[in-house]
Amino acid sequence: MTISRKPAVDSNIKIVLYKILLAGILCAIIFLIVGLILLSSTPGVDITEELSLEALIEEISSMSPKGILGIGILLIIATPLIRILTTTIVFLKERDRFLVIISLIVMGIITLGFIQGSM
Amino acid sequence: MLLISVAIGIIGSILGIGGGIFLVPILTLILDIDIRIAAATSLVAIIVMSSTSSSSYLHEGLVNVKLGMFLETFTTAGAVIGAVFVVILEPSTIEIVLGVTLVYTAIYMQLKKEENIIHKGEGPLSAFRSRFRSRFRDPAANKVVEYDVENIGKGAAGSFIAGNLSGLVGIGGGIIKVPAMNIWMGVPIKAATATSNFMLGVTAVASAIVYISNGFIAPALTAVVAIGIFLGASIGSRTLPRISAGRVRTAFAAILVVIGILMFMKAAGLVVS
Repeated sequence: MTISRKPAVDSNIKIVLYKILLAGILCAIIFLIVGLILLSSTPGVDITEELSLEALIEEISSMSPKGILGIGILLIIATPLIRILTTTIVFLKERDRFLVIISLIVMGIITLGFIQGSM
Repeated sequence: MLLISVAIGIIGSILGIGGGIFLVPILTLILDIDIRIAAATSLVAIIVMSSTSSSSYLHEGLVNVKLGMFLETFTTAGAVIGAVFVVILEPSTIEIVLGVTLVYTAIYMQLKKEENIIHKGEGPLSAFRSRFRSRFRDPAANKVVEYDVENIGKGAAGSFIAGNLSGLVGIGGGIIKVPAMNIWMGVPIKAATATSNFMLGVTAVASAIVYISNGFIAPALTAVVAIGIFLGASIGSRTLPRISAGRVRTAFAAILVVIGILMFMKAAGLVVS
């Protein structure tokens, strides 16, 4: 493994991640803006109204304004997850075993936190 | 609320902090909503902040991706393992200790100049350390800054504590991670705030999933705040490269003092959040 190759690979991954994060967040914001515009045309809206997960899924499947907002929010959450997945794949290709293990640990911890929290 | 979110987005993206410490009290005070809804909204906002600003910082080359991923492991581990310190200390004691630490760090950051912190290792580095070497162009100083990361173990421990405290006293990791990277690890301040921003999203995502699956999400409110943060972070992340490192450090020290005082007030029971 030569050190001189490192910066090139590093800037490569930066460009890939830049594109992923930008695309993810832009899509999410578009959904949120469209959802808000549609929602504001319906009378009697309380913006602090909360939704259970079941209700949210129902709204999404019916593509209601709240459902469109729901898709936007899910896209926001998905973006960092896709980011971790991508870095793992890049480091796997780069054969940097240390960073692959690091990425896998982070994914494991998030899953663990999710399981722990949903119990 | 949109304007407040834009302001928090600008500050957070420049300083590498999530802004939850400001957003949660504002949401609960102004809109009088459940703290869990406020927390969920704030977590989604932090992810938006992280994705928006770090995409820009990645483009500028400011993010040290490998260092970020390495420290991320310790922050998330610290967050999931949960309140280790609560067993040993009362929350109010932790708040006082943290308050003192933050104010001390602010003074230290002002006394020690950026140039004396950053080092580029001479001679051969170990394979482990050479992995974290990074460089970026600083338009404000009109030069390329190259640096080696030092005290990696100490930084990892700091990140673990940052993650661990985040759930406990209601602060995100940024306020601890940025000075830890800057002062201990010799990471230039701009790279430190950019790398902190890059990490924030991943730390917040695990908790955000939990809140949403438990039904603590107000979609319309979250959307308004998210759009505000997106706008703010877009402005902030375009501003950071053009500000001098000294100014960023002064601004960061100021926010450390503000949050330090907030910690003292919380310990005294003057602020509830």
